[in-house]
Parts: sequence; C-alpha cells; structure tokens
Amino acid sequence: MVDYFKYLVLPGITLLIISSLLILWDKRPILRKSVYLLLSAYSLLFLTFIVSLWIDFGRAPLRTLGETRLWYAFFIPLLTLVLYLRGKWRWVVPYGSMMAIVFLIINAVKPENFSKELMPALQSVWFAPHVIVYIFSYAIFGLVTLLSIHQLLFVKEKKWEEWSSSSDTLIYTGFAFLTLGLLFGAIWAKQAWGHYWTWDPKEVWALITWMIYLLYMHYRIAFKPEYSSAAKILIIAFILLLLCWFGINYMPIASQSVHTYGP
Amino acid sequence: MVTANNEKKYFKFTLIILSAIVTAGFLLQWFIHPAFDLSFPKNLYFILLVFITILSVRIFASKTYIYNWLTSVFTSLVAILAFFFFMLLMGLIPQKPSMNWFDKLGLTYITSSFPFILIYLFLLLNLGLVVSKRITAHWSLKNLAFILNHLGLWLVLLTGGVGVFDFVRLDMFCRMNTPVWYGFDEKGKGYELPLALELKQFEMEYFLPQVKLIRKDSTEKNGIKILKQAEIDTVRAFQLSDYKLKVKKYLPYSWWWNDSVFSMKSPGYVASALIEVSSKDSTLETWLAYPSAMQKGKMIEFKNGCVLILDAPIVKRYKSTVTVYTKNEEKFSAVIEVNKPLEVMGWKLYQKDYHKELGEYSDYSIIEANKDEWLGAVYAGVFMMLAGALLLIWTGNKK
Repeated sequence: MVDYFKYLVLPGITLLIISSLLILWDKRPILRKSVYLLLSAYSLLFLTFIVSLWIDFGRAPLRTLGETRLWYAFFIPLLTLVLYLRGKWRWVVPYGSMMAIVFLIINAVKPENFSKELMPALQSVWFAPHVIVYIFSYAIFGLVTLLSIHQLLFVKEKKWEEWSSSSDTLIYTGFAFLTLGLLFGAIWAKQAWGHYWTWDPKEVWALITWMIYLLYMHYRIAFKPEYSSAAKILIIAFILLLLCWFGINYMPIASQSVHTYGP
Repeated sequence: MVTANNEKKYFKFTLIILSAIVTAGFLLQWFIHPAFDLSFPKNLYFILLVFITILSVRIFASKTYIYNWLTSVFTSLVAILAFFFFMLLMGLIPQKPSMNWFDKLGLTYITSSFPFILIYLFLLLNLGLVVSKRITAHWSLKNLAFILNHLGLWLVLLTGGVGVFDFVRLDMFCRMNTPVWYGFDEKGKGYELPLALELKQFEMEYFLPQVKLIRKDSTEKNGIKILKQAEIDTVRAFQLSDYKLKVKKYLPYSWWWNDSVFSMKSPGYVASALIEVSSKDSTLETWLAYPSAMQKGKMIEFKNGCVLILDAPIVKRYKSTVTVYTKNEEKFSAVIEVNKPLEVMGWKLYQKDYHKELGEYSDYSIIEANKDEWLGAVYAGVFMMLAGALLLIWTGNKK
C-alpha cells in the first residue's frame, strides 16, 4: 500500500501548484471556486491514502516521522482550504501549498522502510488522538509562521495590526490543540509508563514548544503594538517546534529518550 | 485601576527582580547543595501556606502596589520567560551527573535546583493571584476559559510539583509460582507491600518475521543498509524490490540439523520459510531462517551483492497472569499487560519488563507497583485544562 505513495506525489504537487498559481494571478470568482475544488480533491486524495494505509497497517499510520509528515502534508492544504473559505486569507494558499510540497518531497526522496509493527507501549487508544491533535496544531503553527514571514517582508506597516490579530486567532486554536496533545500524552504516559510526566527529553521539548506559544500569547496582551517582535517570536517558536519534532533525534540528550520510534 | 501603560514599568522591574532571584539561586546552589524533601505531611503544609499567602494578599492587600505588580500580565510574561529559560537549559543539557561545574550549579538536575525552585515558587504565586483576581470577575465564557486554563495549570504545577515527594515506584521481581511481597526502589532499597503477586504465566506474542533485502554498507549503522523490507506473507506472493517472493512452506517453530529441518517448539527455535524468489531472468527456491542463540540463520546472497534475509520478529505483546494476595486476605487471579495496568488497594501495577534474552521463555516478569496519592488533584487540574482548551477553540473562533 505504502508503495502507492510515489504515484500520489506528482498529482498532489500539481494540484497544489495550480491552486497557488490561480490565486496569485487571477481574482475572478469562477477561479476562486476552482481553487476550492482543487484543494478539496487534494485533501480527499490524501485522506483516502491515509485511511487505506491505516487499514493496511492495522494501526494508525502515525508511528514514524515519515508518517507524521504525511499527515502534515494532508492537514496543511485542508487548513488553507478552510481559511480560504472563511474569506480574506488568500495568501495562505500558496504558502500552505509550498509547505505541503516540501513535506511531500521529503517523503518521496527519503522513503522509509515502513513496517506495520507497533511496539506494545504504543498499542493504546491514546496513540491516534495524541499524535493527530499534535500534527494538526503543528500544521496551524506552520501556516502562521509563513504568514508572519510574509507580514514582515511584504505587508505594509499600517496593516500589521490586522495581520497580527488574525495570527492570534490561529494561534489560540493551535495552542488549544497543542495543549490537548500534551495532556493526552500525559494521561497516556500514566497508563503506559507508570507516570504522567518523567522529564523525558521529548516531554521537555514539548513543554518548551508549549511555553513559547504561551509566551507569545502573553506578549501580545502585554505589548500589543509590537507587531514586528510578535511575528519574530512566532518564527522562533516554529524553529523550536521543529527541534522538538525532528531535531531531538540528533541532540546529545536523545539517548535518554523513550520517545524514539524509528526513523 | 492601573492602566496597561502604567504597568509597563513592571516588565523591567520583574526582569530585574527575577534575574536577581535566579542569580541568588545559582549562588545558593553553588555553596550549599540542598536536598529538598517535601514528603507528606510537609507538602500539605506547603500547599496550605501557598493558599493562605494568596488568599491574604488577595483579601488584605488588593489595593497595594505589590498586588498590582504580582497580578500584572507583564509580571506573568517575565515569569513564563524565566520558566522557559530553565526548560531550554533542561532541553539542551543532559540531566545526569557530569562531575563538573554544571553539577555545582545544578544544571544537570534542574528540577531540584535552587534557582529553578525559586522561579517555580514565583510562578505559583503569580498564577495563583491572577486566578484569585479573575475568579471574582464578571461571568463570561471567555473568563471561564481563562479560569479553567489558569487554575488547571496552577493545580497541576502545585500538586504535581509537591506530589512527586510522595510518589513511590517499586519494581517487583516475580518468578514463577513464588509470591512476592516486596518491591525495590531505583536505589535498590526494598519495601514491603500490602499485596503480593504470584506469577502464574508469562505470555508473549510476536509479529510475523520481516523479509529484508540488505547490502553491506560501511557508512550505515551496523554496516548494513536495509534496501527494502516487508512482513512475510505466508499465503500470497509478494514483491520486494525487483524480486517476487512466494512462500512455499512456512515453519514458525523449527530446528535445523545439518541441512534438514523439522518442526519443534522449544527455546532457541527459529522460523523457517521455503521461499521461491523470481527475478527478471531467474527463479530459485531455497530456505530462509533467522538466527537464534542456538542456531545459525539461512539467507540468500545474490550476485549483485544484495542479501535476502529473514529477520527475527519483534514483540507484539506480552503479559503476566498473576495471583494477587492482599493484606485483607483477598485472593484473585488477574492479567497485567503493557498499557493495561491493574489497580489493587491504591497501588497501580504495570507490566514493566522480562528476561530479554529468553523472550517468551522468560523466567521472571518485572511488575512495577506505584502509588501516587496526589494523582487525583493533578488530574483535576488536567481536566480543567482540557475543558479550557476546548473552550479556547470555541471562544477563539467566535471572535
């Protein structure tokens, strides 16, 4: 089943590129509708693939980093579609597409030796919700980060207030999902490992990620007009998030982690 | 009412105060190595003290500078920043003794070092006062989300933080048909338990073995590069890279004697598969078997340097069937499995480990018995935060 992924990469990338080009070059309503259609087609395609993988593996396809990247590449365009449907977020489509394409390419170039096995500690009802809400929040944060970069580079200063408050809406939602992921993880850890919090390196980095977004939210309340610094905090936050997601495997503390499940 | 603009000065002020606190903390840590012990009932007194402090400031000092300062968002911001700083240190420095100045500053055991604990106390005070302020504010959905999130976090930090001193984790080494009344902590000290476990059966299931196509590669870990792998399919033909594989005969428990194989399940068995391998230009039929402690494996080497092997299967599940005896003279049978702990007399029992070399023939099973009196309080906080997060999604999107 997993071998079919290579047949999805090109159609997926094509759908995303066409959507982005339509957004960038044309504002006619008819094309707007076709973007909805293209992004829906993309989401449906990857949802079908994920569901078939799930059935084929007999477990949620969420164990390896490559599997989480697949979900990410599914969530991002879906989110851009929702945000685009809600109005004003035109820019989100090309950015989201770019991000999804990067993840698709990583998975295509570096195919994993997927295996169906799920070690005993991972066989739990918490496995799927814990990882899915995490990847969903990561998708939101990824989009906000690209929007912040866009804001700093291309948006006029008088529009910053509006941009930052839109970022806030997304951040609050993303943070809520991040919190759910963290707490689901804690409840699960109590079931699997005997304690809800053991300061495992992955837990520490999850807390670091959680705290930088917490910091951002309080910073926005305290220093409302500092739009540029707020956007920069979001960029730093996403770098920390990526360290938590992928980088930790390369750190000296990784050897102490019980959270490393293969590639 | 102090306006936000007036409060801005709190930012620098708190930054200076907390920097001083952290510096003092590091100095204290350097010169005295405190061993904090807040086990029961000391942690209860501590909680009462925190409670009384917050309530008295709230009730008697709510018009003072100190109250305004401690409940300001600028103060919270710096408090979070300080906590965040310690988390970053923890995320970068391995938390195990290193025998250098890192140790002396407490950087290798941050959660029990002076500077971190001082910041933790400050955060508790700040967060507690903020909650006490908002809890009497006008009712609204947004305010409710605020209280659930903040009060939940405060509860988790407070009760989780001091509850750790009462948390007991003991390993019970259970051998077959021998009741065990005691467990050992991580230092190897034994404790008697109000219950006993007698191991009756230890069972283990494996996944099917994997067929792997590998190649020698000195740049890879173990000197081997796995080109392709798949779970063996004993019914249908399956594809592995350029090879089509069909299992003709599969013996899950087998023994080899010279070149003949027979079925028998006893310690040291291997799984063997008579396999037909077809590529574009040829077909061959031969045996594959993974090695065990008692037997050599069988593999196929191709002319192009690739090797086809069967790899030992990984563990799917393992569980212990035990008879439980309690001090109340109860006796019953139960199964303890990973992710499915058993609860007896307030103790949670976890399937933790077994004799790895022997696998399913393990002669013992390690069951962790643990007790956390504060779990209820921590979970109350966790559920508040869960509810708060859900409300946040709701209210956040209504704006």
